[in-house]
Amino acid sequence: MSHRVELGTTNVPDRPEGWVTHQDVPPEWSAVPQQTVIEIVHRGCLEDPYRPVLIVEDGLAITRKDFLERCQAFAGYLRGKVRPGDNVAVMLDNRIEFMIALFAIIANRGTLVSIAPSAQQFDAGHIIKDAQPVVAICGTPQEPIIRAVRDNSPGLAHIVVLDGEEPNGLSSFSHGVAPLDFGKVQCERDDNITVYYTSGTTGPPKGCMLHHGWWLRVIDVDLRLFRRGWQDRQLCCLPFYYADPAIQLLTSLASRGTMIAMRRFSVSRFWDVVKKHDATEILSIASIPALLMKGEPGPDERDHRIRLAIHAGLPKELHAEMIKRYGFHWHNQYGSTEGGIMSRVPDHLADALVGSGTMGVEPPGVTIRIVDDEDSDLPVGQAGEALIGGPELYAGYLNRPEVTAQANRGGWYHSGDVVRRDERGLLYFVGRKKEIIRRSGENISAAEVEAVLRSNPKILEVAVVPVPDELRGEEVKAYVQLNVGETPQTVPPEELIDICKANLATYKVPRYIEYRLTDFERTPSMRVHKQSLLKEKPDLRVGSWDRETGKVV
Amino acid sequence: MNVDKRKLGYTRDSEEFRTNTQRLAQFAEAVGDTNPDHRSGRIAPPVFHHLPVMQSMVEVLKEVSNGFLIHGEQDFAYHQAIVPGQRLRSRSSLVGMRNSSAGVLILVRSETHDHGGEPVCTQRATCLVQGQHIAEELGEAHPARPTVPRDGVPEVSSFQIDDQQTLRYAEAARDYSPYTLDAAAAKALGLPAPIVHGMCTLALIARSVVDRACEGNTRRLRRLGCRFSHPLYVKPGQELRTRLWSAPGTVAFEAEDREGNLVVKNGFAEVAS
Repeated sequence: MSHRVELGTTNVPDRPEGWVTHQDVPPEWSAVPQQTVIEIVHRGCLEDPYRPVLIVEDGLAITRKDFLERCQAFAGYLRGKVRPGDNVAVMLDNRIEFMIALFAIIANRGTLVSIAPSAQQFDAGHIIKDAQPVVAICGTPQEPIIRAVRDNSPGLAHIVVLDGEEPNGLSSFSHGVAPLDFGKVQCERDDNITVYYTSGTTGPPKGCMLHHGWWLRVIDVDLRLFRRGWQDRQLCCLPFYYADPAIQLLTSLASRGTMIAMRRFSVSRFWDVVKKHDATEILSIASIPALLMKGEPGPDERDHRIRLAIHAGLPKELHAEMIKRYGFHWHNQYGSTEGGIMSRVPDHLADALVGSGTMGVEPPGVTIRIVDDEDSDLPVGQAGEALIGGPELYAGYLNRPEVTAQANRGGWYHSGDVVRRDERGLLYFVGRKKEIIRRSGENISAAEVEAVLRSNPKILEVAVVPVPDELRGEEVKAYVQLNVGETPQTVPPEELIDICKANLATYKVPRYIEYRLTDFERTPSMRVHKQSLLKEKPDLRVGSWDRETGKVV
Repeated sequence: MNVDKRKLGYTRDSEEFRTNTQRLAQFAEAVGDTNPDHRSGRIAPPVFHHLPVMQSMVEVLKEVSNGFLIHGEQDFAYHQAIVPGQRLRSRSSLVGMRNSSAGVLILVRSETHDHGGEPVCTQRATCLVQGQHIAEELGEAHPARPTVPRDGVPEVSSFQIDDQQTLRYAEAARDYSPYTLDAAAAKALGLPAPIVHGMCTLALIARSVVDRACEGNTRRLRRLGCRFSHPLYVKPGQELRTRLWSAPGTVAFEAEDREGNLVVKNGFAEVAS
């Protein structure tokens, strides 16, 4: 069923003596000795049955005992309908039933195929056609979409539409059916248990397959890098159809904690939820910190029990201010569906590295190589593509052996991310390989230019994209959304150019500026949806202020 | 299972425990504490000091025995109050083993410090592993109780235990022990009904200690302890009746259930003037 290959076993570069490492990390598999995800759920629920496993922001809480019973009951319904290796499409909002469905599918040795609950016929249809699920589970809002595309999967025999109030949406299906005892299920560690579609910048989205081993390693590494206990409650503000919320739930189950889930991220509700449900930890991505920092300061953002935030892609310009304002550390992390946790700022250096922008170093077991376009290792300091090696990385892309082989060429996973190291081995994110703007032979990171502009208090949000240019190949264009009260008259383009000039090499300074009067379209992970910006008009220069002429094109 | 004497000295750390107004206030509310400082979350009720310690204390006890342990005696020595904005670190160690008529008594000492390294509280908990015996008694014994006079007529107070009391405490303390919440789980351990957490019982009594002997000022409390001598069952009409003898600088107390069983005895507190 699985043709997963271990990555990073050959051409492993030497790690210089003086490089930074994570300190005092307990031995591997000390946090998660289990062999399958189902064992974590089963043991975690039985050892502390009355402790809530999950509390949603509006107050609904579910104990471990209740959760396990519901998982086993729904797994009983799926028995016979889902055979080992079968795919089950799940298209749900942030509801408790999502997690019940997840473990019920896994216990039947099936694979959860995740579809964004906001997907429409085109994107949902692609996934159904690609994954050929035998069962689809959705909410009432998603039902018309699933029904419209069900013929894409001739074997799709059952559409389960949530029926009833949370958390009872799946209960009616298991009436009169014997539950599946999670203590007796026989999963294999190499079973693929989840598929998440990754939005590649070219070609249709591809399904990234993850097996038990991937999950177990991520959970073990996460708990070894940051121990958690009885009094800990991780706040989840990401959509459940990502891998991260299930990771948070499983690390909570393995450490006697509780997960607090928001329906969706919201600046105005954020500190309210933190306070009301006593969150002690935040997992955050993309522009969440920048959005929080634009929020109105209030007493709740200080009088809380948060002891750490883990964030992918921390804005270094805001880092010190974030710690000062909120009173806890934000550890920058580098993670992906394929590679799991690939690097994180080491705890013992957290103070010293504030504002450095580093993503830290690899956790034990993972190795990152930095290579040029021919996959040759680059000298320290030079930016190049990050290749990831380590045990139990992703199991490949569904139905795309050639894409998988290409991504894993040479026995290393090609991340598509451009990174560099400093002399201590600390990693820095430079940009997505495909988001690098190539201007007159120079590589410019859109993320870097964005970070400079976003750090200005007058600016709410910014998106930097390449614009084709006959002379230079590509030019830099910045879309700028100003804060309330500011206008292009109060913040003229010359001022924006000066901000960039004061912080960036001349060749990185945008040539085109376009003021954005409405909100940016965003991906579910709160990133600006750049693909839609690029498609807005045939000539991206039109309506932009041009630095070379000083006029609007 | 046998108690392993090589476990003497076994130590565990709790995760960092940060404090905020709401968590302190929630705890006060869960134990019916009406002291305005406690209820507003400005300062923690005295038994709150057990919360940051609980994880490491239980992990130490589990290392000795994975069966049902009975919390027999508790002793808090306070060095400073818990207030919002602290980052507390707690460490628990197995420091003593003694034989008793009912089994082996395990003494766990827990130390809590704030983020500046200043001591906050020293706790000693003695738990009983039933039916066991050790050849050689090791380490410390439970500390001697201070001399607290019981003169005159005690002040009596009573608290009704409703069927939600253990759930309220479980949520405030994050101690969801099944035998406190579920009749079937209690029965499996040979108990006729769920029992109130010992720490919840002590928290209910501590309200009177602070109100009467400290004149409402928790910071004056230096030491608080007792022996849990009988389970306090959750059942209809249950109540906790406390008798308290105040003297200059000391308090003696005991408490009984509705049937008159002495559930807490040898209770003591030391109060700074």
